[in-house]
Amino acid sequence: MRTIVAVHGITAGGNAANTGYAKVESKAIQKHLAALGTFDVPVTEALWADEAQRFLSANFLADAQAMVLNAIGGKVLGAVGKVLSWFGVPTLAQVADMVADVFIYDGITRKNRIKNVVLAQILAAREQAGRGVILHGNSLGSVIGLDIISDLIEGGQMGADVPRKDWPIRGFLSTGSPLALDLPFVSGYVDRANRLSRLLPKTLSSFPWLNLYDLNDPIASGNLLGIASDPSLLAQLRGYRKLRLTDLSPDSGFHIRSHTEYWGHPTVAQHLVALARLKD
Amino acid sequence: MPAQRRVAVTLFALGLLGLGACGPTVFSLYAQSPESCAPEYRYTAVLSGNVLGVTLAKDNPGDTPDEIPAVLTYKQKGDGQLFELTPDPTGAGDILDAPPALLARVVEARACLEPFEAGDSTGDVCLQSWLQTERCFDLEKE
Repeated sequence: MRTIVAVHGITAGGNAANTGYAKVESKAIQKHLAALGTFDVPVTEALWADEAQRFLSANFLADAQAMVLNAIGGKVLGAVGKVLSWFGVPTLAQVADMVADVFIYDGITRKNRIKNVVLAQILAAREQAGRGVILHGNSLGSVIGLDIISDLIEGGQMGADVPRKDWPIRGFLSTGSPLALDLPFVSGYVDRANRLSRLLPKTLSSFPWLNLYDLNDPIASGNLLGIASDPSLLAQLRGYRKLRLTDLSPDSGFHIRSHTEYWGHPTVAQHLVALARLKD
Repeated sequence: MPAQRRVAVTLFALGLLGLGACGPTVFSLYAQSPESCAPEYRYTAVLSGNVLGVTLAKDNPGDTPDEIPAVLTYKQKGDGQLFELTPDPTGAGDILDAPPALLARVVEARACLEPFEAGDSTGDVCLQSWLQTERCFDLEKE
């Protein structure tokens, strides 16, 4: 079975405060495979929060806080208290710390540095396993994944001319992905999803990409801060499948819980198992 | 640690505990052997929300690595009892030539997989034989 490399989304704090989700994911996978045989599905984390923290500035925090307050002012969220409850943190500053990661990743210099940090961990996992890994990107982590896969194809490390056994990444699972968000104040996620879509049909028709989301997930649905519009080119991908989950949120309304609970979800584990068994 | 931060951390921890208390309701089936297959085959099923997943595994002898020939994902159609098989984009263990779509019916915690249409086939001999007739199983709440 292939190694899974899990890439987290926006965070508050550095790596030390954000490690542990691979353990949650690994436990869900083990539970899924219990009594079915002897399977080793290593899950490793690609942490990048330290890199983001190094670039966290008053400006980014102010931008992020303004964005959250703007959303509240627009009566999208209702109240500060609700925002804090959604994010599971006690202060708006911590929300801003998390949201600031969006701006940090899209900072021109920082984006490359964060991508490089994540790519290095992917390549290390690939080297250790001796086979291409399965990449799982959650939230902003899925955008980082989109960008890295696109870069690898453009760089000639994956593609129709490269034997599949040499691909650093053999399959992709995105959860809670904002790829349908088309917002003026972050660089276009839709464009980045379409960029990968343009690259994939021509070169990697067999590259599987599963996109799991919950309609109550305010990030994945695109209804929190913008209007969702599926990236137009995704429908052309042979290997792309999206699947809506319905049971991530404790209620029927929008809830950030729907955005944070993918790691341990049984259906996510099931799909990771499906990808991890891929042959070369 | 300043008092304000202690309160914040406590609130955060309580928030996480509170959130952790209510997870998805999951029904599952402990690994069983399909009666139409060789004994090294096992399958499990998991129902979580609108998705019914069935995983078929093969316990190979000796040093040969165990395999997972198929992971079937049935997605609920609307709010009803019917679930529809979604195509497997990984291409491994695919159901071949499967139109019309394979269905499953879930009533409370009992799931039944409807059989193949004549002429449908799979890449795995056990899966092929197992899905030729209707398969029902009772799921238990985790």
